[in-house]
Amino acid sequence: VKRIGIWIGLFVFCGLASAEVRGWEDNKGHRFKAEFVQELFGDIMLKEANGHTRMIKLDDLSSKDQAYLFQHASPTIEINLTKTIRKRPEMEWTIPEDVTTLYTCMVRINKISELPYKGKLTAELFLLATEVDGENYILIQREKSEFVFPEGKRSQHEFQAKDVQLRRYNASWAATASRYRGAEYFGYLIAVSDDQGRIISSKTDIKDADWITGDISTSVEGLRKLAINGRGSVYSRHFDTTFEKTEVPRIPWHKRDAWF
Amino acid sequence: MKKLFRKTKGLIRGVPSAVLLSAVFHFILLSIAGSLVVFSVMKKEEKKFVPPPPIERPKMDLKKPRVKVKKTAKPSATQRIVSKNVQSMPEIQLPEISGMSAGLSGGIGGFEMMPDPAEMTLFGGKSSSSIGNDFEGTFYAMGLDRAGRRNGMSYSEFYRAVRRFYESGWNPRSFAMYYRAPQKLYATFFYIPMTASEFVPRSFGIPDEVYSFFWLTHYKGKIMSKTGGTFRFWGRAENMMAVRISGKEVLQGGHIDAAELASDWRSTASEHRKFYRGHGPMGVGDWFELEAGVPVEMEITFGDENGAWTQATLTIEEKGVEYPKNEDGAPILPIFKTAEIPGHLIDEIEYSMIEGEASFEGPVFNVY
Repeated sequence: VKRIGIWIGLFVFCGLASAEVRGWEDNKGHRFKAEFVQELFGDIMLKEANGHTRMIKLDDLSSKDQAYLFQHASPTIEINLTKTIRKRPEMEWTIPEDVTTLYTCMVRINKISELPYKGKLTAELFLLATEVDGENYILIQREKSEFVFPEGKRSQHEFQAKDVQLRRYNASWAATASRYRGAEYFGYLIAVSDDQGRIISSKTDIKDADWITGDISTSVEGLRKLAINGRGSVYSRHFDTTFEKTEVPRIPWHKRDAWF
Repeated sequence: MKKLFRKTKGLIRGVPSAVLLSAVFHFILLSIAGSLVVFSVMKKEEKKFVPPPPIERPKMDLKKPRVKVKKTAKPSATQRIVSKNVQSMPEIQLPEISGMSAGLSGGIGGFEMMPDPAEMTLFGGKSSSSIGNDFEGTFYAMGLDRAGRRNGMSYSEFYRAVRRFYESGWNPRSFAMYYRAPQKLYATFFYIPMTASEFVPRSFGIPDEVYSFFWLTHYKGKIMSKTGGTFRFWGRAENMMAVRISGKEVLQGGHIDAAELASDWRSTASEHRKFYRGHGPMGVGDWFELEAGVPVEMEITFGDENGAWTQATLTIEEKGVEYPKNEDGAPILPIFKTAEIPGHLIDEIEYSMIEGEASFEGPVFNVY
């Protein structure tokens, strides 16, 4: 078993998705209009209609406003992914140069903001591969986990994705342009969305691929479509850099004359 | 004497004092003796605790607990989801929720549910489906004895064993000496394009490390033609494939040498071994009649020796039907099936088959 690192992503994203101007009331009965900006060390930053920001302690807000924050102020979260990689054993009956690698991903999502958050969150893990025998990509896995953080200042949600396997092999019998076929690991993308479907945080180990890391929302939408419109097989989830489905690389017809 | 009695008459003078003195004396003696006894009891020294001599105990070596871990190359597909509070409730962890992706095949409350088509593989599903009419497949690891030990199987003995099986009327008892996988698979079609030989034992639950150099599968089921007609199979396997309809052998579709070693069946078709599928020539079977609406028994075996690549493909031709032809000039025949092939398996087959080898369209030979 080989464990390849733990990537830790920290995204301070708190609350931006929930900004809306609304009426607030403190516990002394003072009312004012403002929009929620973020939580800062347990205090609430609000932006008033005149553009001024003010900090107010959570306990100084009315219970109604507190309840609003608990439901709508997206938490600051930290995403960790632990990837375990194993290779299938090569036996004497294994095809030479046939390597199957198993990937197991454990995702941990930590709430690091102090404000409680009672809204439903959705974590999605996308595992991507590249075609060995082509130039496109394969959505190997989409794992989805819906959850609500337990009450408390710091809480955690974790889920283990189903194992997936990637196989790269030498199809010596097939007269293809590349005799090597199969798939190789490309990277993962994790997106956490709130109950409005807005992505509040994401994490990826993909580098130098702006087509996927440049606009995470578009990428996640494209990958979701591939997963949903696929037929339950990785072979129906080959795609290009615009997230359009592509045909699988086929073995072209060729003359065969072996006699056995 | 009488005189004396008369003289003293009553107590003798001085006697009461002596008695009194004697009593006092004895009382004093008794008191002294008593006090001595009480004193000696009170003064009795406390017994000092003397530890007992060490007892020799027989030493026992503590055995390290050993846990047998079943090595399965295919890891569990369970999704583990845990939510927990890290800071305020460090000891509390919500119960794990599993089986999120188990699909309907997981069953509810002891009721068997329909198998999830997504769980179907090219080798069949792990439970029988009422969709279509499936073939129950049994896997024999013929390089192992029935207890799972290596049995020194050779190539020649492998083919002799398969021949004995065919000659016994495909009686599974002739394989009684070989290891039989507990897991059965249920298939509704047979089209495994060129793939790794080890995938077959793995799909039957055989761990990767178990000797899988020689193996054979035996599937049994029923088929029916709704319209009736005359049919024949075209098959190609690495290394072995045979098909029987109503107890009669109608095809050997494996390697040429393998087919001849295992069976005396010979094709009479002019197309036999003329066209290729994968990287070997197909066998073409005998014509057989199917009465409309009458189910018949069908059996298929396919197997391999020497590992590496394997293949097991079966298509069916109906007499009198014109089929499109591929670049070799061979008819593009429908894959034999008793239920429609799930989409995800069509994708998988297409990835490894050469275009024009077979068609996914065509009749379904289910029995209802």
